[in-house]
Amino acid sequence: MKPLRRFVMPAMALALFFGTIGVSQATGSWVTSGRQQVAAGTPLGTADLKGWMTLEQAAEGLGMPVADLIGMVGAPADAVTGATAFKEIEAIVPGFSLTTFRAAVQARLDARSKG
Amino acid sequence: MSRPTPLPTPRSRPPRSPGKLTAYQRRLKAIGALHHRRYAVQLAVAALVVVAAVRHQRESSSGAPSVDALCPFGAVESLWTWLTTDHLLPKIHPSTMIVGLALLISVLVAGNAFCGWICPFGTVQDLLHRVKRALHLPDVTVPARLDRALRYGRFVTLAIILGLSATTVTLWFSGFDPYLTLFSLHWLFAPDLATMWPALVVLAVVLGASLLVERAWCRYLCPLGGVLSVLGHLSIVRIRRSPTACTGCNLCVKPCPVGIDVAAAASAVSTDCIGCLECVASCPKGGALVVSAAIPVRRRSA
Repeated sequence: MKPLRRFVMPAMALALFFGTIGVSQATGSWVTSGRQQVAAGTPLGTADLKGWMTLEQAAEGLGMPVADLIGMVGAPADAVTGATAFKEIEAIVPGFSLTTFRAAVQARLDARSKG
Repeated sequence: MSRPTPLPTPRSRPPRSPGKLTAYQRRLKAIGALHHRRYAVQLAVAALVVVAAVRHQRESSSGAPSVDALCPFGAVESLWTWLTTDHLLPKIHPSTMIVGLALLISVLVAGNAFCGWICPFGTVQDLLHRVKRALHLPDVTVPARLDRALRYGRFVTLAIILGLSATTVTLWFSGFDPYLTLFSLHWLFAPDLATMWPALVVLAVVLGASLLVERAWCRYLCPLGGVLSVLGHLSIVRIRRSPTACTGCNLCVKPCPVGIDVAAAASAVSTDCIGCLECVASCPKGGALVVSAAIPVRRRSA
């Protein structure tokens, strides 16, 4: 085992750590958020609902009235509007979970398509 | 009548000569250079994280990452949950997996220098230690047996977090993670004591403990440190001690921020090592403590 210059250790750690991140950024693999541009009118499935989406965006994508979604949230009156993002609802409605909400919306959509 | 010249004591600094430096002066210079470089890197990385957090808090529409998107531990939680439950954790950022991979590569090659040079929470603990020294607060020495037992706390923390992450399929630890609590800056931009108090209590306890015992979080509780201490066994580059060259002066022991008994290391220094190089810079005997690669490194012949 040959001794190395001592600063080789942190230099390699820094280069490999930030180098890997740099390569991922250069190749487009570095994604720090699920936020994407959703073109108006793009149909969405319940699995596409993300925390950053507003109820209005979700309603438009799902083809549902926004009032229905607001009603399903179970928030106090006027606490939630179409401009409220799902992640903000978590602070307004204790126990709100986007995963559970997705399932509830899917059930509503299934019932509507059968009816 | 001439006054006798006082004998130099180990603590007195020998006079500086403009030309050749004494061995003691060279060692002091090496320690100073190390401190400057390490603190500069640590502060730069911490500043990057703080800037990301401020942007995330103030420019919510900018897509600036939250600090949990920059934490490699989320990758460990995600991987474990996926392997054990076949489910992916919600709210995990793809970047977290990249940071986890980057850390894995870095550790396999260069040991746990991430902890000593990059981790922002380690930087905060180092700053607290400097504050403690500036205030002349006493050092708390944990008895060796208790210290050895407490170090298993990292694995207990890790097991609890992974168990609860897999059971609940959530980022369960994010509500208590002291790194996230401190660097997310929620306490500054959107303080909500009603929901944040458990996280703030954990943070206060951890910072308080780190004020008493240097890098207490890293030594006894950090779950990522637990993972890295295992992976560290596979590292190519490590700090190694030569028992034949070592004089047993113990000068390398006191500066170690994580309390490793470097002078007692058989060959490679413990995988609890954070690669800060304090021991190497403090060592007065050339060749006793060296950074070396476990695979043969060819050197050009002169």
